Amino acid sequence: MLTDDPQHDGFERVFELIMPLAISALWSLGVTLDPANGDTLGRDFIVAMKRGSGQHGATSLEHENG
Amino acid sequence: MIGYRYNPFSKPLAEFLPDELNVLRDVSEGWFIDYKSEPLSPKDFGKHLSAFANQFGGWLFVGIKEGANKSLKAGSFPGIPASDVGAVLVKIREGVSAHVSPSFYFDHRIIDGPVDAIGLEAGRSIIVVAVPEGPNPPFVHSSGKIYRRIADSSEPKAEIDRAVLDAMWRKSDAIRTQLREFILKPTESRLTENTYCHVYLLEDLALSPHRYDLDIQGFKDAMQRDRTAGASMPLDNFHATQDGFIGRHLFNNNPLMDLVALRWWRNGNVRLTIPISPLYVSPERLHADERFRDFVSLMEEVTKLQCRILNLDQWLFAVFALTHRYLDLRDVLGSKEPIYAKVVFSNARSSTPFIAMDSYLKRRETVRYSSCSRYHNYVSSRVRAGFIRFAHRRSAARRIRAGL
Repeated sequence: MLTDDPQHDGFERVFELIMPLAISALWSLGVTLDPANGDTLGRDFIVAMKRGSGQHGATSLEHENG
Repeated sequence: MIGYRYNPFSKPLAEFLPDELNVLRDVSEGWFIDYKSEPLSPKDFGKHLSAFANQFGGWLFVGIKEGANKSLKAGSFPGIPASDVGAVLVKIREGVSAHVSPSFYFDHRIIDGPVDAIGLEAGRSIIVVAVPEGPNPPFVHSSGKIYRRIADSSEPKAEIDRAVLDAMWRKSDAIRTQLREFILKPTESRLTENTYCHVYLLEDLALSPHRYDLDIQGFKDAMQRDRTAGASMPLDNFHATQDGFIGRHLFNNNPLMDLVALRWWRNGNVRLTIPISPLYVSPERLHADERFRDFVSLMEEVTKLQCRILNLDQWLFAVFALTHRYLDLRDVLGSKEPIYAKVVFSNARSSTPFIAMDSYLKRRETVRYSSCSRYHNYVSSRVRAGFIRFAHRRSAARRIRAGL
């Protein structure tokens, strides 16, 4: 069961809700994050998100499937 | 509202007005209702509440007396001392968690006096406990017995009828099978070579047909709210279905393709569909990002062959953006139900994942090549990442909000 805490706002609320599940999902694909350095994970995630935003024009994803 | 077959207030637990407890004067104790004038022991709370969960769900009121002449309807509302409420809630939680296996979901609300309409005095409180029908019975009491609520009997019945017990197991199995089909159906219907991720965010495990009223404009508004920070991906292509709506991220993509999408059912369940772009390594497809280039070089060096790389940067971005939309929708609907989740990756076999996280990339330099070995990968919210030390989550989120 995921925890939706409306006392958190905006991105923090999403982060708290979905991040544990997202990490488990990444593990299932073999993205074995380094458990010895929890801080790195948070910092890298921010970097990845910023890269995702910048790379795709903030609001769009262009697909290469189909 | 999940699994409440009967609701005396005809509105969610959090929304009825204290005065509306008055309707209970016309509601008899029965399959769905139980009045207690005094708190119970944790063991007895476990017994009475598990009896509801094993049957059709129900409502337990602490601090309400039955009427005279065995009317079984609410007669008076004396409440319990407000100072005792905290201790009683602890007993209720202990009753469900320590005296019932498996434990089940329940919700509660405190009505504090004074409420003149029902005669509840200041300093007194009524506790309302709502138990939805349990999705995976039987719920076994610590005494070893399985209790069921039977009509107006104030004592739950310890079930010993083999046929009834079998029916409980079948109910549990039927819901499990129904859920499995619901989750696997879109996965099995895809015949393409592409990789997909489906994220299920479920409020209603029983897959009831209709719970929320929402028109397509309300759905559109929730999907297109402005977002100034974090992941933002407005959905701009909408369809109505028989039982809900679909919003897709069309943008500049071919509408005939499978796109990032959010499917909403009127029972509150949601499926996020995220196609994951496979990137076949070739010079013209090399990403401009230095870390991706290094990753590709490493994979080439290790495999000596072309390898199929899944770009999980995009996936992570889409999961966060769509989850944000989903929470917007919950706010619009006023939903506070618990969320059960499942993630399914389809056709990820023989792919090697890429995500621009330093800790992962550093590790890959040591581990070298690895790829997914299974066609479908499943993760559910029961499998939490508890074994991963995920420190500073809150501070990380705050930094994102601050735009760092």
